[in-house]
Amino acid sequence: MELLGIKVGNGLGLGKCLFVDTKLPNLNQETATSLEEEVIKVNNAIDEAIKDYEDIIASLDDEDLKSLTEFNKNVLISPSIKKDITNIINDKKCYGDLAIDIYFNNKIKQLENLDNNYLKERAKDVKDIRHKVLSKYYGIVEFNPDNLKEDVILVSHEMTANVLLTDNIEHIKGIVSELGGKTSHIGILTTSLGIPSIFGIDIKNLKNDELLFIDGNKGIIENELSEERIKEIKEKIATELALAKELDDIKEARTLDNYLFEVSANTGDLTELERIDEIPLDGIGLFRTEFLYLNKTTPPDEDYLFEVYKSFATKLNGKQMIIRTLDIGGDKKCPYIDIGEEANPFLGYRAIRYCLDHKDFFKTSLKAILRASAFGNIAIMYPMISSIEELRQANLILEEAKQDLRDNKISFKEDIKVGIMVEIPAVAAMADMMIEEVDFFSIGTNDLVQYTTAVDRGNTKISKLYEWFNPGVIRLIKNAIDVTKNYDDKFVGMCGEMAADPLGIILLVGLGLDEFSVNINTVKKTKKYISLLNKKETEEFVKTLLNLKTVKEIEDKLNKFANEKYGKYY
Amino acid sequence: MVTKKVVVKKETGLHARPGSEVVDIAMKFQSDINLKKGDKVINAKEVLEILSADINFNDEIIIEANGVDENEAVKALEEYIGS
Repeated sequence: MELLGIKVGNGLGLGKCLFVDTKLPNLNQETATSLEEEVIKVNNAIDEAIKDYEDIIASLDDEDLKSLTEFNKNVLISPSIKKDITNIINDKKCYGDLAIDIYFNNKIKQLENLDNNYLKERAKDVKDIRHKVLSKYYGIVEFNPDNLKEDVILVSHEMTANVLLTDNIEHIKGIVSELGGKTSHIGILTTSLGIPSIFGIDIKNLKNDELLFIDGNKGIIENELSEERIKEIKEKIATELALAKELDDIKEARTLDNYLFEVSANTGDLTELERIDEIPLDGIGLFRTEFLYLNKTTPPDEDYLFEVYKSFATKLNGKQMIIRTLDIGGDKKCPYIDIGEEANPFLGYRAIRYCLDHKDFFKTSLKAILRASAFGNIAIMYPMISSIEELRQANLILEEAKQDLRDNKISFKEDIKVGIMVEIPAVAAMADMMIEEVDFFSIGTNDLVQYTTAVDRGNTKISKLYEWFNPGVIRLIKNAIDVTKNYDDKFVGMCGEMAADPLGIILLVGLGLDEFSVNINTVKKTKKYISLLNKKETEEFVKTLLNLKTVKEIEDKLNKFANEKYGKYY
Repeated sequence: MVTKKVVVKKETGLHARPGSEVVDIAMKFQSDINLKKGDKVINAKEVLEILSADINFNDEIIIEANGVDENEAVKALEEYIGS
C-alpha cells in the first residue's frame, strides 16, 4: 500500500516500523499524601532531565541538535521553575505530576497565544520537555535512540525532536509523523541531517515491526512490501548512495561537451542563510519573500526586509539573487492582508494582483529590494503576471520607488534586472511579446502545470493528470525558452520541482534552459545529472520527443535515454 | 544598577538560538538581569520569558543589571545582542 504525505526531509530509507510514542499514565488528580515528598520528587525529576540533556550535549557534534538541546536545558535551569512548581504543589495540595503539567501548560499557552508561527512551533519543544520531566517523575524509561541495533523508521502521532538527540543516528532511516510541518524543529533537523521524513501520514495504517520504505523525495510511504519490491528498493537506495558519495566534489554543471549551466537555489528561509557557503550554488534563482511576511501580525518594515536581503546578497558575493515580490494569497494567508473569502483562491486575489491594488505596501517592498541591490547582484521578479498591463503597472510603481530613493540620495543599482514568473498559460503563450519588456523569465512549473492541465494536485482522484510531460505543457515551456534565444542579454530559468527531476533535466537541457533553480538540498544532484549529459546530443534527442502525443511515450523514451546517460546514478 | 539601550542586531530576533544564548551569557553573572521592551520586563535568565517577549530584529530594548557584577553583565549582553 502507498501512503502520500507531506515531504519534509529528502532521501530514501528502508527500515522496520517503530512506534516511539511513550504513553504516560493519567495525571493524579487526588490530594497528595506528603507535599514535601512531591517537591523532592519533582526537583529530582528536573535534575535528572537536565543531566540527560547535558549528556546529550556532550555527545553531539551536530550544531543544530546541540543548540536545540541547549535550549531544552535552559528551560529547565530557569531560576524560577522549581519554586513555581513547589508553589503549585503547596497551593493545590496536589501530586507532582499535576503540578508539572500545570506549570508547563501555562508556558505552552503563552507561546501558542502569540501571533507568531515560529513561536507556536517552539511551543512543541516545550511539550517535549514536559514529556521528559514527567517521564522522569514516573520513572518511565523513554525511547532511547542510543540502543537501536537495527535500521528503523520512527513513527509517531506527533514526533518530538528528542528522538534525534543522539550520536547514534545511522540506524534512523526515516521519520514519519501524523502531525507537524516543515518548520517544526523535527522538520528542520531531518532536513539538515539528511534523514528522509514525511508528515501528515495517517499512522493507523502502519504496523509496528513491519518493513517500510520511505521515499522522502516524493513524500510516499510504502508497506506490505514483496520480496521483489524489497530487492528493487535496495537497488534504488544503493544508487542514491553511490550518487551521494560522488556529490561531495561537485562544483559546476558542465556538460560532457563543455557547456556550463547555472544551478541555483530556491530559498527565503532565514535558517538557510548559513548553508549558502556550504553548497556550490550559482546563485539564488528564487528568493521567496513570503516567509518574511507570514510570521508576523503587522507588515515587516522596509529596514527589516532590506537587512535580510542585504545579508543574503552579501553572502552570495556577486552571484545573482532573484527576489520574487510577495506571493501571498492562494494557500498562503497573512493576518494583516485581507484577501476576503474566495471560491477559488488559486484563481483569485493573489500575488501581484493584490500588490498592484496596494501601491504603498508594494512600493515599500520594492524599496527594500532596491536598497539591497547596492550590496549585491540582485534582480526583481514579479509573480502571477497574466498580462502586459500588469507588468507595465508594476514597473511604474518600481520607477516611483526608484525616484523616492533618488530624492533621498539612497544608492541602488539603477539598471537592476526585472523579470517575471511564467506560471500562467496566457503568459507562456504570449512569451514572445512578454520577453520584449523584461530581462528574464523564470518558469514556475508547479503552478504552470496546475493551470495548464486544470488539475489540483492535492485532489487524489485527478492528481495523475498533473503531469509536466503533458505535450501541451512541454510546448508552453519550449515557447518560453525559445523566445529568449533572440536576445543575447536575456535568460530563462526554471524554479519548480521539474528542474530537479532526472528526466525533467534531460528535457530542459535539450530545450536550452539557462538556469535551474532547485531546492537547496538538490543543487549538487542536479549539477551531477547535467554534467553526465552531452548538450548537443541531448538537443537532438529532445527534438524526437516533440511530436509524441502521449505522456507515456515521452516518459518511456526519456527513461531509456536516462538509463544510457546516467547509468548507475539512475 | 546599570542600564543600557541596545538595538537588536540578531537577524532572527531573540528567538531560538540567540534567545538561548542570552540565557547562557546571563547565567554567568550573579546580578539580577532584566531586558525591557516597551513596558515588558523580561528576566534574562528565563529562556521562555525571552521567547514569549517576541523580540525581533531592530527592536530597541534596555538591558538592566543589578548586583556585584552588573557592569560586566550589561557589557557582555550588549556585545552579544547588539552585533
